[in-house]
Amino acid sequence: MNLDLPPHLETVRRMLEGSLRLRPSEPVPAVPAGLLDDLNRKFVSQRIVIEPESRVSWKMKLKALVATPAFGLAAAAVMVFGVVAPLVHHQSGPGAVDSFRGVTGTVEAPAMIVLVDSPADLANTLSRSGQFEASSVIAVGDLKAASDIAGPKVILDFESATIRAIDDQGETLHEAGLPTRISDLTLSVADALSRL
Amino acid sequence: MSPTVCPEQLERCWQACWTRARRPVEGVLISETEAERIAEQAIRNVSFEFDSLDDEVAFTARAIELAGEATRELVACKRRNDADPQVHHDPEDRRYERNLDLDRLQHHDDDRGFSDREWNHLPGLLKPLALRTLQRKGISGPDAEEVFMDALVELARVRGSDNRAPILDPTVFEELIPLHLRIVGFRAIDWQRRRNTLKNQPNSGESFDALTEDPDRPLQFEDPSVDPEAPTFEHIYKECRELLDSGEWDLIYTLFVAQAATIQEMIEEPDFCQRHGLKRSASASTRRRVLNERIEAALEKIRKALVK
Repeated sequence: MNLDLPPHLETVRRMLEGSLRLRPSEPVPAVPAGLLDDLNRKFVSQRIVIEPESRVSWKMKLKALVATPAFGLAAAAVMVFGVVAPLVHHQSGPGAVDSFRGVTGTVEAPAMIVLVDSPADLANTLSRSGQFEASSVIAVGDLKAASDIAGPKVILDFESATIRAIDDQGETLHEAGLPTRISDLTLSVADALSRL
Repeated sequence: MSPTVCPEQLERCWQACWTRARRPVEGVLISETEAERIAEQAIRNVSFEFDSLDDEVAFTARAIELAGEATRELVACKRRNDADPQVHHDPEDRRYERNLDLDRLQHHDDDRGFSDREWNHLPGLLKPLALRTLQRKGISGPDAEEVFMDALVELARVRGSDNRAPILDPTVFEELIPLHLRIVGFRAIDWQRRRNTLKNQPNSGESFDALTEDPDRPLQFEDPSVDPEAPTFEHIYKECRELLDSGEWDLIYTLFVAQAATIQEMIEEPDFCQRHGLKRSASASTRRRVLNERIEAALEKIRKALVK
């Protein structure tokens, strides 16, 4: 090995060299059949596979976001900006009428949030979250079905990765790409609703 | 991190475990079949304590430890059941005639201490072995007798560290031999110190140095194969585990314990160099020098830890 160890360390080296098998000349039987395979199976199954973040699909990121508590707060903000604020705004408009209950506005259909080609459970998850009016969230199979829905709506098209705000006349008031960061999605929805 | 168990690692671990299961201590011998069963079970049990075999040093040390413990327990149990302390004693071991009954030696009476009649046979059995060891250390005659008696008494004296007498440590009788010889070794060092003091020669070095570097005296670990005090790897690892970092253990184990690679092979292995922070741009001689320094530092730590 030619390590040129100092003499006082040579004794330690010899001690280590003989420490594993005290009788190196004694023949040892082969490793039991199956032991290597069993250990491989055990250790490999114990390893936790962590997928790189870039491989997580966009839809899965969205589902994960919906599951977080912070999403609830953001969704509440959406309700305030997108649903309540326009109703309050329209109450003082030309359509307002006086009645024994005070000033009331024209009855308008609430804006719908339409998910096109969304992950399977996303619409249900949103409806059950309690942060949205259950009837305002709907999932449809394609863009045509989304366009056929009457009234103002925000369409989140996962196929083309776009978000659009469409008024009750069918006119597109706003169109933008779905945000690249999941955390920005609620802001985009709020922004789209506020334009209706 | 390798995705699977390296067959060579398992082979080394298996060989060490089987060897230790078959002869957990010099003088004890079980059948090859029983050794296989115990070694395999030890490895399987240890696999539940680890997530992989990546830390070969810790895994192997633990597996060997378990294999040795299991065999010692098995032998002690058989001897107790058969009321025969000679069961599983290696017939080739001719250091002494017969084993004594360890259970009787360990029997402690609250009033009379360790006073079983079996103790009467102990001095005659241990003395030749102790005197031979002392002679190798340059102590003979009445001085050796005195050191031997001191060591014998110490077997039954309660230690301050754990409030137990050393005689209670062994599981099988054969363990008593290296235990006593270890105590004899320590008492021999004390004797050397006393002698040096009497000669008004200050002992500036450590006891180990006094024993190993003096050309007039034999080396303490001159030949491990004939030295029953030679520490096993699991003992070394247990004693020094905290002193060496994982990189140092990797070096020491690969190079000396398992002898799985030479230093030349190590410095030519890119993974190894990266693991040990050796720059790829550095010359082979530089890498060898850096490794040599680390090896010496690690060996020095083991030396200081094992030799008081």
